[in-house]
Amino acid sequence: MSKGSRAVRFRGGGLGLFIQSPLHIVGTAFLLFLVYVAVSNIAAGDYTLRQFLQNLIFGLAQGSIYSLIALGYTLVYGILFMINFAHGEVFTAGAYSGFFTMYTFAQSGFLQENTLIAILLTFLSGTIASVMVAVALERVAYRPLRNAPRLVPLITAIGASITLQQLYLRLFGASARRFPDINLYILPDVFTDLECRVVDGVEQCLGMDIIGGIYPVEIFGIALRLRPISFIVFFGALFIMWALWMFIQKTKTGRAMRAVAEDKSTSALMGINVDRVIVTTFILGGALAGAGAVLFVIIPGNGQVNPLMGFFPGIKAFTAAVIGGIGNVPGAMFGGLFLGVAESVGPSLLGISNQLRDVISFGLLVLVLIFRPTGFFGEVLSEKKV
Amino acid sequence: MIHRTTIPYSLYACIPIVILTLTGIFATFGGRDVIRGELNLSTLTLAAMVGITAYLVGVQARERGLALTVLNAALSGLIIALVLSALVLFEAQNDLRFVFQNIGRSAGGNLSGSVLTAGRPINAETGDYRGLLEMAAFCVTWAGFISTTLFLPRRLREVIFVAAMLTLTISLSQGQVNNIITLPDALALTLVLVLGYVAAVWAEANTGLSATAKAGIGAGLGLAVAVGIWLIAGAGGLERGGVLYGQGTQPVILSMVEDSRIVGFFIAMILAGALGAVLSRSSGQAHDAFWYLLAGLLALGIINSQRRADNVWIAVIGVFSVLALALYFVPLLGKRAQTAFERTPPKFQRNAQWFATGTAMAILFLAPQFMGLYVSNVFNQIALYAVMGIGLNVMIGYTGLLDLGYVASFAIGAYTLGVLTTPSLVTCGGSLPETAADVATQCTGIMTFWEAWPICVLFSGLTGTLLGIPVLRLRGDYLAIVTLGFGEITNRVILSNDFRDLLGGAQGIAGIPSPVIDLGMFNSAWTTTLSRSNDMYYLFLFSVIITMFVVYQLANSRTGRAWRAIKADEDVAQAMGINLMNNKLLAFGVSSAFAGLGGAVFGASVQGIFPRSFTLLVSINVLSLIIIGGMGSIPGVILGAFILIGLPELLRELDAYRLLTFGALLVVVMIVKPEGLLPPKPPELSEAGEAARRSSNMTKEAA
Repeated sequence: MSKGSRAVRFRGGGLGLFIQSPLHIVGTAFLLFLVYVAVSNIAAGDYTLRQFLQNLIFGLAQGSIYSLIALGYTLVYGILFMINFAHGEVFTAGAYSGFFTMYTFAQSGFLQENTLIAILLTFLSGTIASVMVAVALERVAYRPLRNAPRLVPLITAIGASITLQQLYLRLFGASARRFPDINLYILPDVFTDLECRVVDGVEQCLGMDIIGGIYPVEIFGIALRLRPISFIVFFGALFIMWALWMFIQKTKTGRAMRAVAEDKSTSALMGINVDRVIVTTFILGGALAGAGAVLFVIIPGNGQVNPLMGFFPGIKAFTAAVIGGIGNVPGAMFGGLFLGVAESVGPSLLGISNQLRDVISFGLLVLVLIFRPTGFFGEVLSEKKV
Repeated sequence: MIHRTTIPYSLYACIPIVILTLTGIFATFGGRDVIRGELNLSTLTLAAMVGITAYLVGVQARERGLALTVLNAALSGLIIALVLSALVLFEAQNDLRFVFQNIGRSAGGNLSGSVLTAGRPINAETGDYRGLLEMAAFCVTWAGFISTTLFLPRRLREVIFVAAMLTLTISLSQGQVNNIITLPDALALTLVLVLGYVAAVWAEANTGLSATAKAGIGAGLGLAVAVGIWLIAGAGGLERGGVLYGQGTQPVILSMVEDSRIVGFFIAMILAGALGAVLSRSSGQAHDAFWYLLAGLLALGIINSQRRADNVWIAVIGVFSVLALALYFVPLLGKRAQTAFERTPPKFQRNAQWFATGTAMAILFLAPQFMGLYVSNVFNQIALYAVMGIGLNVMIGYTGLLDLGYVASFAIGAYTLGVLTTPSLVTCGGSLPETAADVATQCTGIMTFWEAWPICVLFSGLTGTLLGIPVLRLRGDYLAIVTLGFGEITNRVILSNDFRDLLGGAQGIAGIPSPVIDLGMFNSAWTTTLSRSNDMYYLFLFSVIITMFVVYQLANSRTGRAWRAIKADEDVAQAMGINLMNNKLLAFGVSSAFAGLGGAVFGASVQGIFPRSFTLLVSINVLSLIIIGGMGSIPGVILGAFILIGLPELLRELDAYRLLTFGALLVVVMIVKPEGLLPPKPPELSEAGEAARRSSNMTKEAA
């Protein structure tokens, strides 16, 4: 550990020195136990490479969505040092808006005719809804508490989260809404043997369905069944994150954001409008969450929109942000992917039921906090931030 | 003319109003009468929305005089009415029910026909928009009227407002509360208390009697009234329609003169007379508390006597005036009593406090005999959450550690009880019988409730401490999220099939035996099974008292001061030599132990444990009542439990909006009054500390 991070280390007297290392011992023992279970499962042949690859690809897709949400947490945390607990509900807003847009398109037949445009418009509407909720949150709940003690905005955020959840519940009803099935066929000339059906006695092949389809593939002699959507989501999310990274690094606003994250009062003295930068941060976080929400519901099998859907992805994404090192943009990207993969590969690897999937993510969080409280990519946190 | 804030404020207010309208609030509340046949809950909701806006607008315009204030407020009412009318007209043309599923009450319902059109659906074909006009007229008049109250004296305004709120609450929950006490009971109690009080005040002014002698006079007056009641009852006053029976149900207290409980009745009346005399010079808090309690009983008595009456306004006005009078005069008299109290000798002060505490305990102890099962159950809920709230307050309020996984300790306590008190392999001799009925008859649990609950408490405390170890060095946000994780892990584990043999999986653990109080060795009639809610009440009461006692003692000890120091500033606390680790772990342990106690009592009271009871919502409920009641304050937590747990239990119709209100309250309280409704008193310096402060001041002055 570097010199600076020693500042956050626990410095209790007496027992404190004693417990510091046993905690690490317990953690290590637990990790070794997990490795043992995993290795013995593999050795016993209960776990195949095929399962692993399939889970890995699914996990990467899921994880890239966690990354998108985690970026929202990280951006806000980097500037305000508060957990925007209601970020999961910002995600839900995007999902609902995306659902209503897509549903309208599906009803009117627009979806079937101009699938790509419909999808892009859905992204737009999801993003706009999420941004609106995020900005409203900042204005109503967080701005009045800019200088309050740390516990206060956190509790407000929890309150805002419950309020939004309940509002969705009362507004849109408790029942889960099923996202319409989407089929987007591409390259009928290349994939000549996919999605073929007989119409009027003539066999027609539509090409690859990159959203609804699931196809057998053989890689290195291992037969897999893969969904193209997993790759689309993964690379789409990577693209969005790349765009964000460029925005933060190259634009003037991005530079202002970094300056405010570093020191609010100094950047205000340098002529940066801190309030506007903070609103921009919420806009960015909301947009990422909205895009993530639409990606999330487009994945077939995930396609349920319900009032409480944002809560768990929100918590997981926060976990991801902490694993990567909160306040750190590449860290959030990494943390999300890591968590997604761990959650998807973990249960079958360790031979536990899928019900305990969430236990893995929270267990991971605790382990990371034991060994590296600043996360994998953690910057050196000063007292102020921890 | 028009204040510059009027129009923006009204438009801002329209945003939440429109959103709430789209949630179907008027449709949901439409079927519920607040005042039978006269006032509907949805009308009240609209009135509240308009009233709050008019108030906020009126405050801004107030300096410009009555007429302009009313004008501005009426304008705000008009703006809201216009926006709502536009919404109703839009909704009548476009079907919004796919998006906003709750907008109408039934599948075919919509906004037209609700209170927004004064119950008279609009009809575009015949051009019948009278409903909307009526609604607009109501909004404008009501907004104007509300703004006129701004010109009443502040205290009077507050009294009227609080009394009106209480009256509406009682009216809404009257189905549950109207059998608690009858009007003659309440009047008799009032008579005795007032007689004792007045006599003591008179004696104070005109004679030199000692304080104890005055209490004696009060007791004598109580006896006199009791004898009078006994005589009237003998003359048939207790028969239906008699003087002592009134219009309501059979009197609860007065009926005692007719049977073997007559001694109890006489004692109660004598004590009430003495209490009245003592109250005239007692601490302000005790004084106010008893009189408010009496006013509440009177109000309930009025409700009881009027429940079949044709004109409900008599009851409403009666309840309102009793409450308003009490709210207005009691604090004034309380100040007098406090002054008199401070002049009395210390020995009398001590005795008076013991007397008041004893009476309060007696009332608490006897209460379930009057309340009925439903209200007892509500009290049990309040007590459960009070225990957990006081426990969690150790973490949040005293030590400043935000724990969002409190439900984990609650669940651990409950499940420990479940595992220990239900039939298991150990007590069944190695194998469970085939059918559930056989299990019930052939085996018992390892322990009874009384043996198991200390283990639940200890085990919860222990696991809480262990969970605390890995997260010790985390602060604020990190801690919140990790503890939230613990809560969720617990929830997943108890639900999962992996542990079904022990914890029952999704079915939970059924058939937890009720606690049995077995005093058979003294008298065979003294064995009671605490199965009904008004028997369990005592267990809950006991838990609350233990919790309050332990936490109060801890909070005022060296440990408590260490906790507060950690909350104020961890680094400084450490620099002052406070052992962060031990004190934090102790906070974790104590707080979890009380959650375990709550869990054990909860498990015993519902006679089963179901995983659905252990969700994040429990943590959120407990957190909310601490925040709203006041962080770090025991009375605050109890008030919070009454408001957040008790009120919603009585007002079941509002259930759909309960969590929404909690969430909004959390936000609003944090922004407007972050210290809560009843914040803790600032710690008093001890005499030594005071002296040290004074001498250091003197040194400074000398320098």
